[in-house]
Amino acid sequence: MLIKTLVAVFLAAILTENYVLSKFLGICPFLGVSKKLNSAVGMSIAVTVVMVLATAVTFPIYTYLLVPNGLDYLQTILFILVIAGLVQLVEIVLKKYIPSLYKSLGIYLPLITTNCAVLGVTMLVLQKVTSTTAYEYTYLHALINAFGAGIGFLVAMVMFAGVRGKLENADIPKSLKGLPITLVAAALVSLSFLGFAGFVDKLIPLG
Amino acid sequence: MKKAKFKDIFIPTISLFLICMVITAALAITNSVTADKIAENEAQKKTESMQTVVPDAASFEALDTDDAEAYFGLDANGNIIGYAISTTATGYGGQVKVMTGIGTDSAIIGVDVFYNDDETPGLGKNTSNESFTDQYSGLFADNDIVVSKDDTAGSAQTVDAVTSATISSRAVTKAVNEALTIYNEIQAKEGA
Amino acid sequence: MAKRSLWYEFTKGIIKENPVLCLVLGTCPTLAVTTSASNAIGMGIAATAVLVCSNAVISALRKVIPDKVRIPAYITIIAGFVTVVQMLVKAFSPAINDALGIYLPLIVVNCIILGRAEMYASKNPVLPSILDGIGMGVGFTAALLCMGIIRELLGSGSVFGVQLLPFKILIFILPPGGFFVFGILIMIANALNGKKGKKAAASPCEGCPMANSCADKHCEEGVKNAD
Repeated sequence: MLIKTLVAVFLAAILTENYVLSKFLGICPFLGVSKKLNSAVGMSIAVTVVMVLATAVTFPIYTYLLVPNGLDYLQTILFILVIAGLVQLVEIVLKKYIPSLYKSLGIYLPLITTNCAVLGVTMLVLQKVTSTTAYEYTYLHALINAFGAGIGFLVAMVMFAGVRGKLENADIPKSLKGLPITLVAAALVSLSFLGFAGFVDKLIPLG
Repeated sequence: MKKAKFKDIFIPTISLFLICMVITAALAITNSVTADKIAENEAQKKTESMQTVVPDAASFEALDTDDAEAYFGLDANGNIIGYAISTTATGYGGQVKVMTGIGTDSAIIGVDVFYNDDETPGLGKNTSNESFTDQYSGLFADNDIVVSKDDTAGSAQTVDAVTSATISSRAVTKAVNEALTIYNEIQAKEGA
Repeated sequence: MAKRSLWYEFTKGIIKENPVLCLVLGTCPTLAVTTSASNAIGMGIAATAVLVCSNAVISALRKVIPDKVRIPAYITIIAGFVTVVQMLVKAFSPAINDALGIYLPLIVVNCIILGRAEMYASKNPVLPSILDGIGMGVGFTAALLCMGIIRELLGSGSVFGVQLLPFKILIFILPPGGFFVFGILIMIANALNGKKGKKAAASPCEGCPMANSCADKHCEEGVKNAD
């Protein structure tokens, strides 16, 4: 049962609740860093790592520190500072111990602090704790959800990088060039994700 | 050298600390001003919703259940005339919160979707329209309700989903069914 | 002269440097909350309030905040104002709070606000900073409203809840419609600016405040690598 719910949470985070394409979180990097496949993958991996770490830290802080003390109004300010701190920490650790990885991922890290997808994930998983009634939504579910959100980001970025590669050579009106055609292409990609609505519920019926 | 270090480390640390202090204090003040009002708003919303689903009740009294939010609807003399049960389900965009009013004869009096703002406007949000929620009135608590698009075999109680909002309709139905289960549990407890 | 330049600080955000359509900042809320015109206004006002307050405070403290910790300091100040606005909205206008949902606290990471703090308020006196905040806020609200009206009109056939069209094309209030309408609006802005011989809207990262305000130069490298 536990595994079943975890799989459902993971798939839902990637497909039905895709943070970029259906919740509009993390649009800036989605539009900005998806031109080349390599940078799209690098950015997505960095985002995934920070999402999981941030959720791992903020979930217990919120549940065991803020809520029992009636301080949940500090949520926003605390979470954004935790994320900013974590990003710095990951950067320092990578720089010192794994310079090769730092070289490929490090450049994306400073951009992540203001990536709303990260803050969004840490907040949305906490909402799920109260709204999920079919089973108990635990710390593990939250982590899997964050990981799934990161992978969902990766899937969207990689797909979109492919679409944009094709657009490079397309002959389009001058005023559509650049961002406008990118957005229209994004519309079509997100259209394809609409088809996943209800998919996970049907695939893995819970309660 | 030492002086430079002091300047480099302590001044930024202290100023950042002070800013955090001031901001946190400001938040604490705002919170103390608004907290009551926020709680009042939420309570009022709930009371309004309860009044919608058990319109004849004069007052409501919270019911002690393990994990659900349920209320007795009382008439002017303090007799129980119905139950208002609040349940939550996951819809298309997020949570859907539903208040279900059930009479003492185990028939549903009314259903009110009091939170569905994460659903799509014009689609899933229409599940709070009366044309949809009225379908539940008069159905009975002894059997699960099914959305007519799903497998309805063996189920007499069906509701028609809002056009192109099957997922939101299903979520509301799920929440109502959960309320029915809670109602039956309450009845079983009282009967025993 | 001084008066004219103050007027300029105010108006530049509305048309010439419109944060959404020309600088392409704050795309997430622009797409997410514009499913109806009233949502768009709610978001615009909330973000404007935060922007004006944070611009004022950051400008007043610009000589006090040490350069090294300025970004965390700005983020703390902005997050503080966002939370205050969130609590006020919850207390006095719960319907807007429900409608904006998660996107209300997410104003913290709205690039426009940190961007103006870093690019403008940290370098200018209080009064122009406030005007800059109001101008940018109005520009943001106007662009959001524009999106909101188009999407609500086409998607649910109404504007501000008033039914105007006998039909509705649902796709416009779903996520793909958001991307599409935004794309078309930027295309129109590009076409208008192009006629006047102005530079077309930049790629999102050029306008991203983090491209300048990242602690290191990594960011610019990142942008370059990305290109």
